[in-house]
Amino acid sequence: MSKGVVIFAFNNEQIDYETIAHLNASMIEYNMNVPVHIITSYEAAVAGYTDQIAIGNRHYKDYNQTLSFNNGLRWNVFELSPFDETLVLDADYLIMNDRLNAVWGNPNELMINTDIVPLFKDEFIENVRLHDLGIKMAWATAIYFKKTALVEQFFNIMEHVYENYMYYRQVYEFGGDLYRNDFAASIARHMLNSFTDNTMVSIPSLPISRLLTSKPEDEIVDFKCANHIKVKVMLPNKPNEYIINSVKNTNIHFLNKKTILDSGDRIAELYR
Amino acid sequence: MASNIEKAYDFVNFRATIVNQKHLLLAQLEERLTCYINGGVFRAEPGFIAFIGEIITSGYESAPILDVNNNPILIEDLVEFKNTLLSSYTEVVYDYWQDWENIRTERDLKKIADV
Repeated sequence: MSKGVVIFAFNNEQIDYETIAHLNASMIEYNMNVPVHIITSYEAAVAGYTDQIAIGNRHYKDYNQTLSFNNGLRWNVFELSPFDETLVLDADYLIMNDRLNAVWGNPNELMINTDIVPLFKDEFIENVRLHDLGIKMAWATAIYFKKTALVEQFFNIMEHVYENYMYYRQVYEFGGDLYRNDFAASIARHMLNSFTDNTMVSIPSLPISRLLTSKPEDEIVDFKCANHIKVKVMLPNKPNEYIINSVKNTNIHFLNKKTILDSGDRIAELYR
Repeated sequence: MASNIEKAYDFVNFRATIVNQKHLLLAQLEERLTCYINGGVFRAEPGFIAFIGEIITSGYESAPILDVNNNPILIEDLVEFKNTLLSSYTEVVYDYWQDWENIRTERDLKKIADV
């Protein structure tokens, strides 16, 4: 059985997602020693899916601009992944240890996380559920799957949610017009479980049960060495106040794309 | 880069830095305590390690064990499995203790961020 990581990377007007994906790929290969397959807009075009990349526009705090949100096509990973066992990761989920290697050969055919841990302790997490009384959020930041019938249905439902987003927005009562993979994955998980939380089919969390997640305002100050970074953590509700902490040997979802790109040379140097 | 760091320390909040650094060390500890064997995912925790020890004491050399997702995983060599869990636990918690001690006694914010 082949195994590997897949990353989607579609550039927009400002953000070079392909470079971010390549930087993270070097971190993944360094730490996990598995192949990484990056799906770019070129590959999407070859597969005939160009029209499914752009989702709309959203404001990026790190660039203080409204830019194209090219985050579609994730539902086609079942078809586009060259691996029998796939770990699909967000380009900005920086891999700094080998713990996700625990997924390979797992009896579960699909794994997705329902919990995250904020970079700043006790910070309010906005989307624990799709709305206050709604279903639990499943985070599409990291998904493990095998190519089975159940998993195919999971991604089919994600695509169906994308195509009928306004309908599902009303049914599941979440806010915002902009399609989110997290919401589609949450709904797919709920529907596959016969509209229960997680009782009918077992879709457990990944071995790292809570993904460490930063805010878009947080920054990488410095890569001290491989798998050890200094981070500038903005204090919640205190604009312009921040602390400096270190994160080591811990995977981290860094929402600030600019700070990853600014650290590009250092990452390339450390993880070559 | 250096000026950014200087600027950062001008604004830094000492207590929040320490508390949050402990929070991040705990996140690291939780990730590192994950062990995997034969497709199963296990946590190197004291109760679980003691349980494996109890099975060995009862005379079993191999046995199926439930992983964190309740999947039964056949462990062919329980002694080796226990040793793996035990060494993971002691190594990870030792590192955690060292970092914790550094934070506890350190009063220089620059050095806390180096932990």
